[in-house]
Amino acid sequence: MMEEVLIHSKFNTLREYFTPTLLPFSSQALKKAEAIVENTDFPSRKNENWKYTNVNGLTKLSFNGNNSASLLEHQFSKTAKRIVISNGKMTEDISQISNVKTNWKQVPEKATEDPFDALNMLYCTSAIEITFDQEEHKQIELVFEHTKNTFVFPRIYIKCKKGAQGTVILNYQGAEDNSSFTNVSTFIEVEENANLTLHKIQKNGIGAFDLHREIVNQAASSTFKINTFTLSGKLTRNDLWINVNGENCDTFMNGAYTLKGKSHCDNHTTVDHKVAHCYSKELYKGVIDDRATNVFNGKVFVRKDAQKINAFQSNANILLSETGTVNSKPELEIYADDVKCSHGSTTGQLDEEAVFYLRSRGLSEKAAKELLVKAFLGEVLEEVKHDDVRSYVEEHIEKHFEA
Amino acid sequence: MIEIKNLHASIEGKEILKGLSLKVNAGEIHAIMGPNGSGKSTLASILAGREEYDISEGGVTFEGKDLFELSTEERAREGLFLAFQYPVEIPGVSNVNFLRTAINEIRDSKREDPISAKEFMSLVREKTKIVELDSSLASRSVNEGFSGGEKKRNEIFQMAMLQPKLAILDETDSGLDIDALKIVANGVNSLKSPDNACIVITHYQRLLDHIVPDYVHVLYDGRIMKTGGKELALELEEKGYDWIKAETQVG
Repeated sequence: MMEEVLIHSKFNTLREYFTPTLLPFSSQALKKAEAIVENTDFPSRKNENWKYTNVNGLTKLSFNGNNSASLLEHQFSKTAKRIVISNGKMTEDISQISNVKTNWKQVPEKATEDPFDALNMLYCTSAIEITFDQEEHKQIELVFEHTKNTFVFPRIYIKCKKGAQGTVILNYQGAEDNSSFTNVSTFIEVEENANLTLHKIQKNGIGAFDLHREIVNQAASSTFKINTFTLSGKLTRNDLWINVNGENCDTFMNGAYTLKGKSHCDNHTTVDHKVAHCYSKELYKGVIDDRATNVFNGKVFVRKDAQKINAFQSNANILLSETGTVNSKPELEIYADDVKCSHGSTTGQLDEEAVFYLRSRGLSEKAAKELLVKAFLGEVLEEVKHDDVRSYVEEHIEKHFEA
Repeated sequence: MIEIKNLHASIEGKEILKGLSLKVNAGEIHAIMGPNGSGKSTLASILAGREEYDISEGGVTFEGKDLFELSTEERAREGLFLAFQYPVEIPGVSNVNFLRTAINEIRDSKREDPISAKEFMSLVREKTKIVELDSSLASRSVNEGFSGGEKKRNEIFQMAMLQPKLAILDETDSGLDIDALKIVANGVNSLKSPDNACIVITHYQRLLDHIVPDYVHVLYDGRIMKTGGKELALELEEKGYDWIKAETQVG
């Protein structure tokens, strides 16, 4: 195989800004990551997976803010144990939290071929492992807060052990004026009979780039649920990949996004049904205002012997302006013959008749639209069984219409 | 209350209202009757603030203000209410939630404090009784899955909650069976006071058996052709609209 050395690759331009990780990864893992980053350039439009998302703007950022003090204070969950990672650094002693590990002899080698995952490892700012091993339900909230010109590259490992239950809130908060680069790799193992819920909130500054990937493995009879809320930021990309490896699993993927200005949000999700007798349901909904753009690409694979699969997927968008853009592509690839699957995608405007009706009762146009948007996103929020998270997102929707 | 003077209005180049004049005072109920296509619903739409009509001549003053200077929501806050001929279904928006928002926006425009939860709920209880609306319907999504009769009763319920100065009922009787018709009429009658007024737009006389108007106007070809007392409605019922048409052509 010919190895092309990309001297002028954008990765090489970008990495000049970063300080190599101090975390103890194995030299083999680092070498592999190094090779991936060395030999890859930024994804271009020719790459089907990145057709509508252009990350070239990353090279225009500067990164001199990682030593700034934390300025933010965010937490939704009043009940969860909280860990704050401020500008990439842990702010407190968390050794008393028994199921969280941040001190490593060697960080796990888990990695993908994704060059941004490799970049994450080479310049990793924190590696955090959360383990749930009890039937009693536990909650952990990770708050990542960042100010201007910072790079935040966490690597997160979540294990929900056999029969255990847990909830993790991943709360990404950037200062409003911030132009940070958040690049997160999250590896999730849901063991037999385990039940894991993830709430992910992305609320970043108008210049912020957020690239996230979650790689999930589900063992037999497990339940995994992820709720993703993209509330603000310049460019957000979520790659969610769920391998359903065991039978009798339930998988739920919910997402809501509120985009305005020039925000760009891209949700790429894959659920891979490898075995029979499983259920998956996906619902992503969002509103797009101003010149914002949204990309949705949802793949459902049903492998050859994965019979009796019920898989449902839906994406719905409301354009609030004439200049917003939506690229939605739901995909089903089914190789089994006894399955029940459906997918659908809709993009439209707010019902003008409904707006008029509400206005004729005294509501301002703004209040009418806000009420209709809340109702539209309400279907996703109903799936969020965590009151603090749900009310946080609801409040955000109200604020979204204030500015 | 409201004075419409020589109103000319068209849509997509077609003139619908051709010099309509009408004056309604506080305490009065006016019925506007007329055949299909005479401009009844156009009048209701224009008064409520639909923007697709061009007003070429004439004007409307509502409580001394130029109505056309006010947006739809400002008209509502000034006390104008339209009961829709086809109430809109709004999935996911609860009836009471939206009414509470509406009441508070109206109060806010008058620099009044928002309604308290307790006060609001007792108002809901009181007003649902007037239109015999099941309280579970009141808290469901606006009109979603409501029967035709329930939708119309919900319009009157909203009217009762908002307590407008001028209510315009646009063919509220269409599609109602006699029981629903009575409930709607009772609702309207019980809200009548010396301080408010009502314009009842209808195709048929039967609603006027239950809501007794002070004046009946016949709208034909975009103008009020004839005005009389409640007995005019009976005459129309008996003779149809043709004699009005004939009279007009002679005149």
